[in-house]
This record gives sequence, structure tokens and C-alpha cells, in this order.
Amino acid sequence: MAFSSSIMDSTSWVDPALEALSLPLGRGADFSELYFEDNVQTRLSHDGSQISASSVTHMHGAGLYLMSGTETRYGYTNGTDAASLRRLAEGLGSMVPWRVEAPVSTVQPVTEITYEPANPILRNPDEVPTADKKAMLDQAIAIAHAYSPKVVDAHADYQDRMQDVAVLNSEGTFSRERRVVTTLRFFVTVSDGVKSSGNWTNYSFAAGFEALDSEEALRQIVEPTVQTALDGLVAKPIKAGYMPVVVDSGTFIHEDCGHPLESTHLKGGVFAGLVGQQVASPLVTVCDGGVIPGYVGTNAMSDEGVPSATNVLIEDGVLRNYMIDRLGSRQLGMPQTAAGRRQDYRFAPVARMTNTYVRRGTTPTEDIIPSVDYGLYVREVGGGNVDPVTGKFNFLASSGNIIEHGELTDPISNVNMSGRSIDALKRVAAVGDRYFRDTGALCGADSGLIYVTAFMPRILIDGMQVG
Amino acid sequence: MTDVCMQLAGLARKHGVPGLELEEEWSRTQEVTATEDGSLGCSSSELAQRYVRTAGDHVGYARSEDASEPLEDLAARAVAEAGAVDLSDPAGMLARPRVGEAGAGRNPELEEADVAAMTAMARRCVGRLTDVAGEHSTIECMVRHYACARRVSNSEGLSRLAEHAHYMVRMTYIAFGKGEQHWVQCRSFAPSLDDVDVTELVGRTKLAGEASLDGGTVETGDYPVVISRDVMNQVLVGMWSVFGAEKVATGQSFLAGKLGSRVASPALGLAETAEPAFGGPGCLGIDCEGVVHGASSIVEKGTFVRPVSNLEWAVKMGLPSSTANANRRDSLGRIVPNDVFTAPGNLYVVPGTEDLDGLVAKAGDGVYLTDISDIYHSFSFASGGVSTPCRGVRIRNGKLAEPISAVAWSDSLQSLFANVVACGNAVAWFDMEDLGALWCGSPDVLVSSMHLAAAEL
Repeated sequence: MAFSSSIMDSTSWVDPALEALSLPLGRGADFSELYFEDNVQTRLSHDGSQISASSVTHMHGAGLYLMSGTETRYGYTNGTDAASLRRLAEGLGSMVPWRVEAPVSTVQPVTEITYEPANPILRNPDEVPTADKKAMLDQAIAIAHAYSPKVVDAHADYQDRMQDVAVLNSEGTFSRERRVVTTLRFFVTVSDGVKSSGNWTNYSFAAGFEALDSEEALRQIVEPTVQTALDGLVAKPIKAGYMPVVVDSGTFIHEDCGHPLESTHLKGGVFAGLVGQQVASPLVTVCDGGVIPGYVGTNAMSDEGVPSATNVLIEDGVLRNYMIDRLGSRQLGMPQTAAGRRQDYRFAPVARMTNTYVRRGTTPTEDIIPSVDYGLYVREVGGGNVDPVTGKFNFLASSGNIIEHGELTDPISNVNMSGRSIDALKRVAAVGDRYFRDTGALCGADSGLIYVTAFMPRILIDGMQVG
Repeated sequence: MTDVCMQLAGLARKHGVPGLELEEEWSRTQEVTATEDGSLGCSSSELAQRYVRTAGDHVGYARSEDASEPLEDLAARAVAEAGAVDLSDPAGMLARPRVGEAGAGRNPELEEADVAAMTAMARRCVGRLTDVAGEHSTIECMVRHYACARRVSNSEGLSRLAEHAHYMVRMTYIAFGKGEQHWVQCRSFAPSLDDVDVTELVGRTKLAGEASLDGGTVETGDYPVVISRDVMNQVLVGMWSVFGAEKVATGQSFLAGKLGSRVASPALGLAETAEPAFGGPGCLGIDCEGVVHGASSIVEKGTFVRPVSNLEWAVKMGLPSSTANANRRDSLGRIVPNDVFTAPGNLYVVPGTEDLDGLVAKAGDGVYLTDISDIYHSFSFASGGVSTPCRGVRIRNGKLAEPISAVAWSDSLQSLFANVVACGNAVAWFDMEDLGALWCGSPDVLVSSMHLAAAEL
């Protein structure tokens, strides 16, 4: 069934929305915004031998965001009729007193923009026969078992999402966009009869079904997933200590400086007030932007209706900008950067990443590992966390090897790396000359789970705490 | 048979499927937040949604938040999805026995939130801690009223309705010092604000908050450790699925093949409860498959007696019944809407008799663990391995002493389970908000030996 929604196909909901936007402006708020969303998600689950579940979900609702200065409120409803919107606006606007009540204002005349899709879609998921999706999952499972007889369980989820969003605010913004995401999650457990090891990966694409519609595409997802689990069976402990670390995974930059550069976390933070100062090795340039076609962080606009653009955060080691949402713009007195993002209408937007990357350097990638006498090579970062205020981070290297005398030796599994953002950035001693592939993933933070990418060339950090 | 049941039966006949089941869920959340600087925040939300699934040889699901979408259309979508499924309905969905009597709401008065009382409570809790707040810390208190109703109906005539409402008070303590920031949160759930033990909640928050910073480390080695109830809840949230039927049945849990075996010290018990005071999905009366919530032992005196399951996995594993743990992540949570899956309703560590002072005294020379930093990536389900930075307070001569913050817990869940000596007498409850339906409870827990490693940053 072809996806259609009232958001893109009509404007009958706009007048009730404008009325709802106007109500809080007379009760202390100086800004109001409604975020409308209609999305349809389909999902197929493969339990390893057959399709075990199939579902379709229709989400529909609106979130109301109010501001008075830098004070904010958020509420949502999935009743999008005039009465439901009015009830939400009246309730949220007067539930508790505002600290500073803004003078009464009015909604500005709106200018409508309907964006063309930011990403090319060759095979719309809703036009792909279910049989093709089933066959893709069967093939993925088969690839796992063919790769290793030690696979004792392999299962997978396929999911696609057709999402229409509209942002309507009291400053006259009325912007609409359709977004498509296709995802394969793959889970594997391996055993050698004595030990077991597991791994899972999430690959999300701002693309249609074509992203998964070839054996080669599936191999690139499944085989590394299985290999990481197999490495877990033979992984050796690494001697804990402070040592050089070589990293291929963009998750490192996402955690190390991505989150701390979000305006949401700037207050008192490690990067606060450092614009124009050296915060990284001169070899490091870090950018963020939802403008790379096909990358899952790419959209035509932010979830606050700001057109997407590339944002240079750190240039040759010097801090140039932050990722700034509307609230951050008010707090910092700096322009918004299309960073306001949210999982869905149930979340207020906050400054988040889109596609975050380190620009390529000049060191031949193949020369980096041979330059290390003893250290850790990190192929995949399985996850991690950072305190965005202090910059203190903790990552889990889920896949990689020990480096001894310039060569990769024993595989490692689930090794902790820890440090501080700026310290690690300043210790970048080499940046490789080609990028490593990004998988597209979900990032969880204050405004829920959003799709992001993070990628970079191989980098060498000359010292980090490991283990 | 209700009108809805008859309508579902008619639609099942029309589409040629053996049966259809409908779950309707409505929820409303209102929150007031007070901070020590006197400011107030608020939020309000309302969500109504319907799920239809098919029965018979194939199972398909359809969910809608659009109230204007006719039930006929929703059913047609579910039937279309069912066409994709290979699986013969493993549990004969509609024929699965729903254990217990029809669910009656445990707290049927879904009254409007008392916003004035919520505001007063939030301010009162913050006020009780302002003496410790200052340039090195900030305090925040959020009071939430949650009301929820669920009805499960099917074409076989099942029609069960449950309603629930509760308050949650959550205190957040953010501490600053030596270039670090750290925050802790403690929660209390109650059917009414009068039932909230403010003194206990404030005391717990203060202890955890003050222990969270500027600590030293310990020499790497094995220590007796008292795990605080809030940390134990985070551990449960991180690793509960090793007790889940799906992981046990498919070999993804290190407890696979251990059903009926001793997997822990006799001092450890793990159970589900339907007690109404605690606020989780387990209090609602019925789960997402219409099974009535009750009490179920998961680990009894150290023996793994039954996994956490829904109907599907209970049948697949040959278990006598579900533990009423069919949940959707939308239930009481906000994550991406999902099909029915297995998740804790109110999974808790069975309390013992000792209070915290008693456990600390028994530990003698050890550590009181008040925080772990990363529950998402700390546990390996297949191997049981644990690796996470943690914080706490040193125990010397049976008394709490200086804070420690540069420590890593590097051990295994098997070791944790095996070394439980005693459990405290007071349970704290915890909802993992961003994970939705994961609700856990635990008392403080004393383990005889835990491997802690000195960490240096």
C-alpha cells in the first residue's frame, strides 16, 4: 500500500494548528511550535529458520514546544483535531507559572516550504513485495551460516520507515518533508562447544530497499558481524595501561567530541567558551551536517524546520562552532545550525548530531599500524558513553587486535578505553588518507533515538588508557 | 460476547483468518519539575493507540495511533502482514490459556493529576536537600502522574480491561568537583502522594550524591561489596534478559540449559510481582496478551525455576504458563513502538531482613557501590562478563568511610549471583524511561566477593 499522509497531502490541519500556536502566546510564552508527524513502519523478524513476525505501525501525532526566554515546556498528543490541539495548548501553557511571562504576541504569517526528499530512493519500501524482503532475510541468515559452522543462532530484523514531518511555528515557519529509512539488524551467537560469544549490528540507510538488495550488500553487513563474534571466542586480554590506540570507527569521534559539542550540553562543559582556541591536534578537522545523500543522518531540514547545512566544528584543531538548536541559540546568542532533532513527535527537539566525520588526512592508511610498537587497534567501537560536560568518556572496543611490533596479533573483545575529550583529540598523531565505511546507527540521548552516521579515516592516538 | 468481540469475530470470518485480537491502550502523563533555584517546569502528554493481531497459521500485527482509522482497516493491515509470516502460530494464540480471572483495575480511579500537590511535593523534596546543594551540586525533583488503561479483546470472546494510576517522585542530584560532573537519580513510586516516604527518598539521594565525586580508588582485588538498591536496579535493567525465555531458549543467555539448576547463592531470589504500589506494567492488572498479572518466582533460593516469558515463549519452551510478561515498549514508555515481546513487569530481587547498616557491618572491610556508569554495554549475555566503571563508598570496620570514584567492576554475573550473602529489607523501584517497559526493583545486596580494579584517568 502506497504511503500517504494528511501532512503532505493536505493543509486542512494548518488553521487549527495556528490557533493552537496562538493560545500560549497570550499566556506567558514568547514562542510556540507544533511538530506534526505521520509515519508508517513495517517490520519483518526472522528467527533463524523462518519469518516469525510481521508488523505495520502507523504513528500519528503532534508535539507542542513552548518557550519564554530560555524556559521551555513540551507536550504531545495523538489527537490532532482542533479540540485536542487546543486542550494541549491551554493545559501546557498554564499548568504552572512561567518564571518570566513574555508580553502577549501573535503568530507571524506562515511561509510554506515543502522540501524535495534529501536522499535518492530507488525502491520505495512500500512498493517492494514482502516476498523480496523475506528472501533478503533468508539470504542474510544463510550467509552467516555459510561463513562459519560455529554459528549457533542467527536472526535478523528488517525495518523500513516512511515518515512525513511538518514544523509550524509562531515565527512563520511552515516546512514539510518526507523521509525514508531502511534498516537491517543482525544478531549472531557463536560457540566452539566450550565458550559462547555474541554480537549484533544495526545498519540503517537513508535509502530504499536497494540498500539491501544484493548479496554483496548483505555480505558487508553479516560477515563482519559474525567475525566479531568469532573473535570473541579466541580473544586475549590486553595488558592494561596507557598506550597508543589506532581507531577506524567513527563512533569514537561521535562520543569523544560529538556529544560535548551539542549546545544542549555546553553549560559549564569542557568546550564551553573555547571557540577560536586550539582543542585538538592541528591534524583534526571535524564536521557535522545532514547533507550527504544516502547517509542516514541526512534530511532536508532539522526537526525545528532549519535547512540542513555542513557545520565545521573543529578546523585544523581550532574550535569553530557548536551544534546549536533553537534553545541553544537563545542561551548562547549564536545562530542555529540545523541541529534540533528528535526521535518522533513525543520528544522535544534538542541539539544532536547528523552525519559527523573527521576529514581525511595525508598519512597513508597502511602506514599507521606499522608505526606502533605496542598498542591497541580498534576496528569497531561497540558503544560507549561520554559525560558531555566534563568530556570524560568510556568506550568499549568490541572488535580489534593487539598491535605488537607494528603488526596485528591477537584479537581482543570488549576492551574498555577511557579518557577525556580534548586530551584524546590533542593526542591525534596521524590521520589516514581514506575513510572507513559507516554503518548508520541509532543514537540515544535526551530527545530519544535518532538516526546518525559517524565516520572517519584511520587515526592514531599516541596515548590512551586501555583496560 | 461484547460488541468489539463480535466485530472482531466478524472481521476474522471476512478475512478468512481463525481469529483476531485487539489491544487498546490509553495513557496520560503529567509532570512538574522543581529545581533549587525556584524555577518550575512541566510537561503533559496523552497517547491512545490500538493494536490488532491475527491468529491461526500466521501472525501479523498492525498498530495505529490514528483514532480516525476504522478497526476494519486496521484488521485488514494485520491480515496483510500475516501473509508474510511463515511460522505456524506456535502457541495457537487465541487458544492459549489466559491464566487467572478477568483483570480488574488495581487502581481504577484514573483521577486527574493533582498539579498543585505535585508542585508542592516537588518543592518540598528540593527544599529538604538545599542544605547540601550549593556551588558543588544542584538538586532537581520531578513529580509525575501517570494514568493508563488497557483493554484486550478477541474474536473468541475474551474481553479484559485494566486501569492504573500512580505517582512517581524522582530526585536528581548533580555534583561537581575537580573537573568532574556526576549525577545520580533516585525514585519512589506510590498510588498517592501521601504514600511517598520523602525522608527515605531524600536520604537515599543525599547519600548517593555525596558519594559520587572526588573519591579515591582501591587496590585491585576482591572485596566484599554492598550493592546499593539503585545500582542493583541498573544491573537488573542491563542484564534481566539472561532470565528471559527467548535468550534462554536460543542459547543467547549463559543460563541456557540451566533451568531447574542452581545458578546463584541460596540467598538470592528473583521474582515478578503484581503489587499495585510499584508502578510498573506489572501493576496494570493484565499484560499485553490479556494474561492477568500475578506473582512468579524466577530464581528461588538460588535455583532458576522459570524464565520471564510471554505466552508465545511459554509454549515454545513447554512451560505451564506465561509469567504475564508480554509487553510492548510503548507500554508506560516512549521508545519506538513494538510488537509484543517479553519484558519485566515488576521484576525484583526478593528482600531479606537486614537494613543497610547491618549489611555494611557484615561487609567489614569492603565497598558500598552507589553507581555504575554504563548499563548498556557492561554485560555480555552469552558469557556473563561484566566490565563497567563504578563509584561508591569505602567500608572500613563495618562503617561507611571515604568516597571512591576511580574503580572498575570487572567480573562476571555468575560470580555476582554465586556470592550473594544477604539482601536488604527495603526495595526501591526503578523504571528505565528510555527503554519503556523495563521495570525493576531491588533491595541493597551484600556479596562476599567482587573483583574491583583500580582505574586511573
